[in-house]
Amino acid sequence: MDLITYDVLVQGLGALSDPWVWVWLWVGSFVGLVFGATPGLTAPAAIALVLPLTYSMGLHASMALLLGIYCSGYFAGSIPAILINTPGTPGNAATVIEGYQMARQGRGDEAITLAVVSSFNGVLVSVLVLLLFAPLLAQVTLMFTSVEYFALAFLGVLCIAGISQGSMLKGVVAVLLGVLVSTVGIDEASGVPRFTFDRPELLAGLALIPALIGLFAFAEMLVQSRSSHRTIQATELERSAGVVAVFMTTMRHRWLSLKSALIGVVIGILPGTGPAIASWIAYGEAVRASKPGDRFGQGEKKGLIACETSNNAVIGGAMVPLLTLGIPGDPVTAILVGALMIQGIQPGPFFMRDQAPLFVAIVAMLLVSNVAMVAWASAAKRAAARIVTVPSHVIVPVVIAVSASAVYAVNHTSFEVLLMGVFGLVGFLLLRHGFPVAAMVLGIVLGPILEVNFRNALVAHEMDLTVFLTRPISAAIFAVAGAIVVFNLWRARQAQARRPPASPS
Amino acid sequence: MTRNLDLLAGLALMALSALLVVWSLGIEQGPDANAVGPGVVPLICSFGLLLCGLILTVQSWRRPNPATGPLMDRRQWMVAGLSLGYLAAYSAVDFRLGTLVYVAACMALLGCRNWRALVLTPLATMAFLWLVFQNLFKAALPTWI
Repeated sequence: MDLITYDVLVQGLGALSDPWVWVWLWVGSFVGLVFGATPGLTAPAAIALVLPLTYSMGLHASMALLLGIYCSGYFAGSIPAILINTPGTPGNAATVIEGYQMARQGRGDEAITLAVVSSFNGVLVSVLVLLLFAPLLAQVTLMFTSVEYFALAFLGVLCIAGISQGSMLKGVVAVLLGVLVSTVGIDEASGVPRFTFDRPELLAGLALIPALIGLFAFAEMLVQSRSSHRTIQATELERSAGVVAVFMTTMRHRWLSLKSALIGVVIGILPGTGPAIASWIAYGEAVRASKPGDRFGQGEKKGLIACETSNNAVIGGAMVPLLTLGIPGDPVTAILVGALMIQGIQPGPFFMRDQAPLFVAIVAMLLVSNVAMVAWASAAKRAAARIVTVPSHVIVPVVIAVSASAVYAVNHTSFEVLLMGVFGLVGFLLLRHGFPVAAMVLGIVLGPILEVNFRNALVAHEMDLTVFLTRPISAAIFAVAGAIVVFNLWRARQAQARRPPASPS
Repeated sequence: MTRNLDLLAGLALMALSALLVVWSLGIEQGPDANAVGPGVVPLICSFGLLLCGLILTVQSWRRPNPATGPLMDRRQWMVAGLSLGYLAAYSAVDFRLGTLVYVAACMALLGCRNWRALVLTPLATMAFLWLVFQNLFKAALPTWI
């Protein structure tokens, strides 16, 4: 069965004939650039904030806006990393090491251009992998039953928990909280209300948009309000560097670019991971493979190429489990699940079979957003360099005011606006105690998938719990999950052994 | 409490999960007695949280983390209070007035003393919301006039 036929390809590419799709791709790319470049604001926050606006947009226009933000947002975090030694997003933390040194040497413009070209290469490779790999995987997943889906979703939440800031325990807590949040409301299978406390607003469940905006935007603004009104000095962009010349530099390091892109793709495919892990692994690999004369830590281009290629390559990788299994690969794709559902599209095993033209359109839009990202970054990098210095006393109230309006615009209820505030406080408490907020969001999104498939699998197999271990694919997935748990426990033990004993106070 | 936030988190988590266990046990079975009941998954998650809270408490009791400072500083408390007030009153106040007052007050709380910024930023935010939500996307925000 060939999922991507010539007709499907033509239909999919036909989405680009709508001029509004182009407009929203460029708008999204610009919004992503602004949010990514502003310290404290991230691509997930940007996508969560614009998600309510997509209710009144068509399917293709809304995907164009969100994918535009996705591409640019992951790159633009490198701008503050390079200019003020502060990563705009966690995915650009490794970029700080070489990028800031380059800026201090008067090569800030070259570093930003190198970051955008490397990001372009990363997205390009990852989209090619998505195009080749997703249709193949989709054919396999059509044979899965609820047993395999539960196993996969379980592996997903375990991966999310396992990679969470070094503490698997805190990751598990965040995921469990997310799953519990997803159970609020009337249970669809039995019609029984759960955790509703006789409040009619809760019968339909806790809405996703207030949760996303509260956890990603409001919580981060409360964190940002601590360090208000400090003056940020950005490094000046001195010598300018052309895109073509920088592209040739990346081509001279094509094997490093390809290796970093593939690292990003693989990390992206693993559910619950993200650009931060990809860029650190790619940077570590670049350092490991360094040659005499390389100056890692002192503005080495190869380090920057590795980080920025891999963190944007996560994009195509993360779309693979989203579009074939309905399981998000990173926080942004978790929000994209909500975006697709707003448009009446259910991501999952039947997506590629039923929505093959949309898959082609998404791939095409990612490629166009990639070009838009390079164009915006080249045209506006000096303006973007000013964004990094916007003080938090401007960012915090503006983002909270926009968040409130965005939530209110969806259902016009004050309850959801207040709910966003409650999620914001929960998110702040999680962040303050070192619990990963992204894991909770993924728990909210994966919760219904886990629950429905768990219950269906048990009912179909006469409540036999061993079915998860007797079916081969499910057993293999659980074996991988077990290995992840063992690896994390071993890693935690190693880390504990290295920690100095606490001194009595 | 300024030290060992993990101990505080572990204890709070245990209290919350104990409450969730009780609530989960109170969820009805539903009409089909042979199906997996609607309370099963919440109960598993609540017990999971209880176990995690217990492990976190024991871990942090045995190996306390270094001091990490208060949960929120004074400025954060004030911003959180002001913002929650704004959210609670959002639908009752004209969004243009509410946004102007909130943004200006929040900027002042956060230490902004530049009068031009204190006037222009709230006006620009209000204009942005009005243009994007009310005009471009036709999303009705609360208004008096």
